[in-house]
Amino acid sequence: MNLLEVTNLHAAIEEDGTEILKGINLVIRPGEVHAIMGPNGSGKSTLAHVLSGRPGYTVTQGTALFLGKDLLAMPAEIRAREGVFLAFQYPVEIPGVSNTYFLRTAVNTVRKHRGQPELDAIDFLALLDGKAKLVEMEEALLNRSVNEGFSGGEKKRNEVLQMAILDPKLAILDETDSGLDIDALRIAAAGVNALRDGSRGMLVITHYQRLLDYIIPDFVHVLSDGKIVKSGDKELAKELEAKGYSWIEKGPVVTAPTAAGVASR
Amino acid sequence: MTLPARASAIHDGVATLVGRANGFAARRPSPPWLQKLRTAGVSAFEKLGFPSTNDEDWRFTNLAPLARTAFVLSPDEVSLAERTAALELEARLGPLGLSSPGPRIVFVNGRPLRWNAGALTSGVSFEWLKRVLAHSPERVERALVAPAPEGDSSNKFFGALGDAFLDDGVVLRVPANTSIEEPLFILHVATPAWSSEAPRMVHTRNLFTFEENSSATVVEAYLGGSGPSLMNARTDVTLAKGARLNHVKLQLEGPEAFHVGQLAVDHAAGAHAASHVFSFGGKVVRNEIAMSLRGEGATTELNGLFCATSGQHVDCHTLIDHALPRGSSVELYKGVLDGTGRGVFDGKILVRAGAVRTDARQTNRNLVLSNSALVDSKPQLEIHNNDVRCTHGSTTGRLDADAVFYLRSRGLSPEAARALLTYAFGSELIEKVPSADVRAFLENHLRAWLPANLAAPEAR
Repeated sequence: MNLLEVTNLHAAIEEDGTEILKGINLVIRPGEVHAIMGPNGSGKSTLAHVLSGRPGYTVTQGTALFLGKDLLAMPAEIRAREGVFLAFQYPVEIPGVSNTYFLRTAVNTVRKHRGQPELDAIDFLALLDGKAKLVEMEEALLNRSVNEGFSGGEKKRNEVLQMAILDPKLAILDETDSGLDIDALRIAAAGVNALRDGSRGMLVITHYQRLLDYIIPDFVHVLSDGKIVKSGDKELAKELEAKGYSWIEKGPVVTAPTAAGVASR
Repeated sequence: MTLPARASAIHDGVATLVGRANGFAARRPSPPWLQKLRTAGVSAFEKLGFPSTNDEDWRFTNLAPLARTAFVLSPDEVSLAERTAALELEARLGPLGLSSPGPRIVFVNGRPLRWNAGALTSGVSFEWLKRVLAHSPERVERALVAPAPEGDSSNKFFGALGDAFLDDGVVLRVPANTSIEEPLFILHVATPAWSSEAPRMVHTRNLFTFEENSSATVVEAYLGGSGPSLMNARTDVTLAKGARLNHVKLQLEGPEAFHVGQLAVDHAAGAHAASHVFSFGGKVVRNEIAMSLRGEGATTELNGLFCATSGQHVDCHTLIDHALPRGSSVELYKGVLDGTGRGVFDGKILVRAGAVRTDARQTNRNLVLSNSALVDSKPQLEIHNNDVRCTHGSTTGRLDADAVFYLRSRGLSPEAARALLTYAFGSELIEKVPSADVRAFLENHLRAWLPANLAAPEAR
C-alpha cells in the first residue's frame, strides 16, 4: 500500500482565501525519500503544514491518503499518533517544559495510540540516551526547556531527536537546512540518514540543493506556484542548482514538451 | 431601587459588625492598651466602613457581596464536627499534610486546634498570640500599637476590623544569628458552613520578629471547604539587620470564600525578605504585600501566582517602598484567568529621594484562557531621585497558538497541550519556592487545578 497518496490537492489560507496549493499530485511508497524543491512562495511549507494538520489552511479540493486512511480528516495530534511527523522549519520554544518531560509525554501518547505499553522513566531514559547520541545531543540540552535558548543547529537536532524517538512512518522535513552551518547540517543529516530503514518514508522540503548532498533522495519534485511542475531523480536537483529556478518557472511555457514528458514518468 | 437597597444592606452590614465587635471586646477582659486598640479599631471601621470601588486602591474589587453577608465569630469552643472537618481538609495537603513533621500551628475557624513543636531550635518562640495576650501582653504591646507602615493605606479598612476583633494569631521570634532550616507552618482551616449556621469570619494577626542575622522560612496556608467564609489575616514582620525571611502564602480556600490578607515586612539594613504568594481563587480574594525597605542595602523579592475561574475574583496588591540607598527589589506576578474569572495586579514601586542606587524590577504576566476572563494590570513606578535603575513590564495574552500546534504535532491532545503550557507558565513561580515539600505540593495542586478548566476553551 502506498504510504502517502496526494491527489489534486488544493489549499488556501483560511484568513483571506488566497489559494497556495493548486493541484498537488504525489505518491510516496514505503522506504522512499522524496525531495520537494522550489523557489520562495511556491507553496513548499504550505504543503508540509497542510499534510501535518496545522490550523490556518482550508483544503478546497483533492485528497490525501495515509496508508489508505483519509489524512485530511484527522486532527493534527491523530496524524502524529498514526505516524506522520513534521520537523519544523522554526521549532517553537516552550519555556517551563523540560525537553525530557516533553519527549516522554509525547512518546507515551503515541505508544498508547499504537497499542504499545507506555515507557517508564528508566526505559525511556535508556531510549533517549541511545537516540541522543545519534544526533550528538548533549545531556544538558535534554534537561533544559524545549528549544529555549537553543542555537539554530541545536533546535534542528532536537527535531531529528524527536523524530527518532517517535518513530514515525512518514517524516516531513520542512527546510531542515535553513539557518544551519555545514557542520550542523552534517549532524542533522546523519541523524536523518540513520532513520532510513527501507520502510520509513520521507518528504524533504528544501530551497537549496546542498541538503540533498547529505540526504540523497530517490525522487526530486519541483514545486512552482502551487503545482509540481517537474519530477525526476537526484540529478534534477543538481540541474536546478546549476540553472536556478527561473529555468523551471519559465519552463512549462518555453519547454512544454519536456515538462509533459517528465510528468508522465 | 436596587442601589439604595444595596447601600443600606452594606450599611447594615457595617452596623452589625460594629455591634459584634463591641460584644466581643466585652467578653475579653484585657489590659487598657488592648481595650483601647480594639475600641479604636471599632470606631475607625464604623467611620470608614468597607472600601468601595471609588477608593483608588479598591478600584477593581467590589466588596459589596462581602459587605452584604452577615458573618459571625465562632464560639470559643471547637466542636467535634469542626475538628473532624479540619482533619479531613488538612489531610488533603499531601506532602504538607498531617504527617508533615515540622513546627506547626493549626487553627480551625480562627480557634487553636493543634501545635507541633517539630525540631524547633531552642530560643525560638513560636506560640499562640492569644496565650501571649493572656499571660504576658507587654511582650507584644509595642508591635500591636505601632502605626501601619507609612505610605500604605490600602489595608486601613481591614486593619481597623482586625484591631476591633484582635484575639489570636501567631507570635514568632527568631533570636540573633539563628537559622531555622525547617519551614514553620501556620495553617488556617475554614470548615464548610453547615446549612443551619451563619457563615464564619476570622480575624487573625501574626507578629514575627527576626533578630540580627537570623533566618527562617514561614508557610501560611489557608484551607477551606464549600460555603461562604471570611478570612481577614494580617502578618507584620520586623527584620533586624541582615535577617532573612522566606514567606510562602498558600491561599486554598473554597469557591465561596472571602479572603483579605496582608503581609507587611519592615527591613533593616541588609535584611532580605522573599514573599511567595499562591492564590487559587475564591469569591473575592485580596492579597496585599507591603515591603518597606528602611535600611541601607535591604533587598526583597516578590513572587506571586494567582488563578481564578468562573465566579472568582483574585486581587493582588503590592507595594515596595525603597526608603534608603542601595536597596533592590525583584517582583514577578503571574495571573491565570479562566471562565469568567477576574484578576487584578496592582503593584507600586516607590523610590524615595534618599533611596539612591535603587535597583527595582517588576514584571506582571497574565494568561487568559477564555473569552470571558478578565485581568486588570496596574503597574506603578513613583521615583523621587535620578540615580536608580527601575524597570517594569506587564503583558496579558492567550496561549501561544504555535506552541499548542507544536505539541499537537507530537501527539498531545489540544487539552493536554493547553494544560502543559498553562502548567509551564505557572511552574516558573513554583520553582522559586525554597522548600521541596511545598514545591511538590504546589506542582500537584496546580496540575489538579488545570484539566477541568482547560477541557474545551473553544466552547466558552
